[in-house]
Amino acid sequence: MSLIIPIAFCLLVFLYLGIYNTVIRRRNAIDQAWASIEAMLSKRYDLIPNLVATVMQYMSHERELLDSITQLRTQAQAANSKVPEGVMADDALTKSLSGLLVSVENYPDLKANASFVQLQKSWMEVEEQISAARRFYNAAVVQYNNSIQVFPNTLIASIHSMKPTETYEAEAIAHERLNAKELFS
Amino acid sequence: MNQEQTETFEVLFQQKLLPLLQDLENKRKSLVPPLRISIVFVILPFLFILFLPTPKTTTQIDTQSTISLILILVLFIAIIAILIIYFKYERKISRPFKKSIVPPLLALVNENLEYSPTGSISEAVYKKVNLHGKYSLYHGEDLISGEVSGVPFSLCEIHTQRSAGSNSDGKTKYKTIFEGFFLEAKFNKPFLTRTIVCARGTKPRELKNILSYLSSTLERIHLEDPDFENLFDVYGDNQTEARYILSPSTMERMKALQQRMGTRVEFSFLEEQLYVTLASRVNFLEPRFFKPITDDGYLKDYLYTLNLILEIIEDLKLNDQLGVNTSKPDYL
Repeated sequence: MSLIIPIAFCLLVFLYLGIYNTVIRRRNAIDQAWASIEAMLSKRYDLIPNLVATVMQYMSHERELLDSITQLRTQAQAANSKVPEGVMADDALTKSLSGLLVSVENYPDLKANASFVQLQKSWMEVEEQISAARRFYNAAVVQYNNSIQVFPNTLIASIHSMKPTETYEAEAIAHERLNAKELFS
Repeated sequence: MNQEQTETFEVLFQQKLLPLLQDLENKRKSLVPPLRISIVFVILPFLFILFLPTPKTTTQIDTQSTISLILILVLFIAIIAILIIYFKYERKISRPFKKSIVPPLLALVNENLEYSPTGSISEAVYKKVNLHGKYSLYHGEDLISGEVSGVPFSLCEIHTQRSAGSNSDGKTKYKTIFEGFFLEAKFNKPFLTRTIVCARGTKPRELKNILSYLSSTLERIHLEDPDFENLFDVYGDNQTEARYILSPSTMERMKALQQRMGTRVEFSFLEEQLYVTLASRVNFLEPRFFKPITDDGYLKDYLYTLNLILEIIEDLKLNDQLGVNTSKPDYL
């Protein structure tokens, strides 16, 4: 009888530690996933100057659009893409880039340019990698949210002020981005 | 087979294959009766020995010993006869079949295919693909290689086995680990880590051994498609890259492929290659022994199977090249 209380106490401590560690691991997975998104976004930002420079030689009439892309790139790169402003800047940039790539249809010489074709491929690859990183992030968020919203985890989560995190829902443009390949077909 | 392929097959069969098959059929017919007799002489001694009454007197023991000796001798001769017939079948039917019948059949699917009856994708490749369980014997044959829609590929039949104890006579028993087709094709995206798509409820070989499990970098990857998760368990070195490879559209195609094949299909992505294994017990591209080989039905089945497997390349859109560099992605 005298052992029951210490054993129960030990079990509770182990349970607490187990749940706490699981939740922390899942929270860290979110950070890791976020780092992937940022790495991919940075790769895309690096690609834009080359894209603009190549396109500019053929699309002098679209100078305004090209300038706005360069400006949006600077804004998006400077902003923290985790906050709404950052997401908005990123979406605006993607929207402009999509507009640019639709305009390419009117420039057959540009479409045949070898370095542009190369850039197209790189751009599509980066877009797919961004999409994959977002899916990883959202999967990590769902796992984390589930782990702090079920009983008895919810008690430990409230003790440590752990709050559910929002999934990365880019605007509708994100879906257009997934279809980037169609823009080039 | 499509209509055009069926028509070409009919012409090829009547004009070129049938005369060759007729010759092989005559040889087959000459081998079947001796084989049947030999099989009977293997079974009968067994039955005799099994049903011999227990000897009670010394004379009976002597008689039964003599009978047993004769039966064992008969059994031995019958086994030797079966082996001789098998080697004759190999030399006179199987090899000529693979030399003269298979290449024109493959040319119907694609004229640029190369065929090696004894060749296979190397065991080293199978080992690193990390699918299925631990094995001790690897056998591959019927290597077909070439390009489909500009995608280089190799395909062969493989059979892996693992020793499972020994028989009462001391011979090692073997248990089949995997039997079927093994396809290797260039994947359309550059990637650096491993992603392994196992059948539901199974794991990569690396995670089945306690030592390699402890040092493994593979982790379970839960994807957002519940139907896909019902069919496959995904393991990979990198969560992001696994999702880059397994895009929603690729997952859809893999689900459709699994349903269309109706067999256990597994995938492994490594070193910019896609490896697919399809479980099958069909002895592919082999002439039949107990049935006439002049019948065109089984040849059509071989063509159908080959088309089905090679369609994987088009189904998964491996010709839709994406990406240009193979530099290390920033997230790795």
